[in-house]
Amino acid sequence: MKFLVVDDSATMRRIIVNSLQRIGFSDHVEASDGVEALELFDSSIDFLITDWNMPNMGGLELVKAIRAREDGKRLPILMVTTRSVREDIIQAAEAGVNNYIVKPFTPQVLKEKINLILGVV
Amino acid sequence: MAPDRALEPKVIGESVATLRLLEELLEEMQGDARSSSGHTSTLLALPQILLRIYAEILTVIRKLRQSKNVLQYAALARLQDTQDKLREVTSTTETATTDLLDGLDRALAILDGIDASLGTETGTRECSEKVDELRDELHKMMNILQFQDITAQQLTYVASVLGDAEERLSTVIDLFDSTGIAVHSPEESETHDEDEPRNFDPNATVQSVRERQALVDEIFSSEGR
Repeated sequence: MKFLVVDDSATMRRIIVNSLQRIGFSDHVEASDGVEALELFDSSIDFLITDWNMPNMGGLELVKAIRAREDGKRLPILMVTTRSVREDIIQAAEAGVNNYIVKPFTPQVLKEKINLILGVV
Repeated sequence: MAPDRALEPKVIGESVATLRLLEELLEEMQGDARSSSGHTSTLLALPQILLRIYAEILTVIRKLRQSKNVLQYAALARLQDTQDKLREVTSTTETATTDLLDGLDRALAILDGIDASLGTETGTRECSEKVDELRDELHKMMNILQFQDITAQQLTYVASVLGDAEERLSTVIDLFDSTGIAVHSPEESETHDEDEPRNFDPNATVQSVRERQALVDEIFSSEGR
């Protein structure tokens, strides 16, 4: 399973990738914002993990752009962000994210949400 | 009376002209009493002009009072918030550093255990368990480093508030310019374009993460996702 990990913080990307490897997912590509992610997004991507607040194109816009594409309609998407206001969470759910993790997270939570999404999608 | 910026330079100009006219009239009246009759119509219009000037001055005073309130809000509320963020950055980095040091202590103790197990009869099994334990500790330490992303967002927010304060001070300096009197409220003068994504969350925090994740889970389970 190939993951597309999108976060403007290189530290966060590294931590997410490390956690993914720990739970058995080693194939991934990384992007530092939504624009770069859209350039990398193709049919080889099986799962998207994205931050919300990023320069150029934020995570919410990225989710909307991917959901608008035919090949992105059923892509499993997990939002990993510091934003935790009720309105934001609802907005993300309405934009089409399958689940949502509040930073800072533990690898256990990441594993739980990925499994939950893969079981649902 | 609705504030009208375009009127201000005009009113100031009229005020100067009116005062000059008054000065001239008084000089002429002092010099030649007979000539005053020719200026009767101008003198009749004077009370109205002066009332208008008075009204505009009141508007300017009101704007200055509003500006004072806005500046007080900017200086006290927003800078107080900035101060709180900086305190949280300090406390977060301190907690993360302590957690990392604790993790390193535990990792070193595990290494000591591995060292002691080597060469014993049950050494291989014990070593293997301790290596797993060590791996867990190192992963935990790596996760602690998430604080860097959160504190970076808090510092970016602080920088944006300071940038805003700088802009506000420039506006105060402009108060003395005839083209602008009022200082706009932070909401009015918000420079962030809503279409432009922000690369930081002004509310980023490491506090109450369990409660915040519980809210997410509640929303997602109620949405049937």
